[in-house]
Amino acid sequence: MLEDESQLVLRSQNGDQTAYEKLYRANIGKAYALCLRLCGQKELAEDLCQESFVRAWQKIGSFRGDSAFSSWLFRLTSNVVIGHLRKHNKWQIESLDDKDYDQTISTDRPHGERRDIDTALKRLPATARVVLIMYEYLGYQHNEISSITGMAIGTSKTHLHRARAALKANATQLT
Amino acid sequence: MTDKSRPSNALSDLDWDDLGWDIQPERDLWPEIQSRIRFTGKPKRSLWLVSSVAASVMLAIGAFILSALSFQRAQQTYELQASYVEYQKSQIQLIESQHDQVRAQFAALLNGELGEINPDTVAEVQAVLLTIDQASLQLKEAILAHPMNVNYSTMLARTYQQELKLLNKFKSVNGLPI
Repeated sequence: MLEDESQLVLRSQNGDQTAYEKLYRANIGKAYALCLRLCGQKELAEDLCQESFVRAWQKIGSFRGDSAFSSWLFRLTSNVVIGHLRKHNKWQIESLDDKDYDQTISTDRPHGERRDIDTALKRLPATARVVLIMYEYLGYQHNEISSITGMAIGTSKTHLHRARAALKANATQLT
Repeated sequence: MTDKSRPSNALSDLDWDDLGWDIQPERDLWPEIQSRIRFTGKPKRSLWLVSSVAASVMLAIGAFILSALSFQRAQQTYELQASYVEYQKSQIQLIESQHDQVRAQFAALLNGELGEINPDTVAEVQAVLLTIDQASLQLKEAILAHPMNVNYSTMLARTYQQELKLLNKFKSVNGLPI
């Protein structure tokens, strides 16, 4: 968290775009990584990331500081990505675009293990991957995932179970 | 970002925070974001603060109106009570004056006819009258303590009526003029 994040948020809430740019610079890396892992396409991830920061600006007045700004932003970002996937029926995508995903993810990966995990993540169906990231990384509960994605709670649990099993199997293969 | 309180046994091999969650996009997205947020202008302030202030003001106004109405009602009740007490006093005074007159006439009559009436009967009547006086006194005290309780004034009126009946009966039995 930035040392003066609350001040930057306050200034942004009062319309200070310079302050908001600082919040953008501090969070763009993680927000983009989230978009990329959720949607799997570089250009789409950039567009959705941009859309997320615009929406965050519009809604920053409702941010009350109950959590870190980044947590609030990432939840908003995941909502934007999932909204897009639902709108364009991308739930049916079985795996990500290998070329985009590999090129982008591999740019910042000093350890081979990360690549393996990302490979396993990439192979998951979109729904399972989204559920896994929302549950494990963003800290959503199944009922929240259900309300955001529109899938049943039981389906969310099933996807999570399968995604975990797939990742575990992948880890076992490596060892 | 990961909720650390969540049981992580299922993905113990996977450290999400170590997965590489900081990837810079190839192009700088800020110029486009900035151009878009320029059109939207200043972010909208959350309505929760305005709403809560408005709700507080409404609550305060409501409470003020309620207390004002309660005060008005209390004042009306007090005024009503005060006027009723005055009415009760005037009624008691009227009954008392009538009673005093009856009692004075009876005393005068009794003094004039003392030689004709059995002294034991006279003593008995005087004892009854004394008991009635004591009961009346207690009733008057109760009326002053509880002015809104009509039962006490009714009881006092009935006591005087019973006393009047007793005196008339006594006169009738002893051949005195009623």
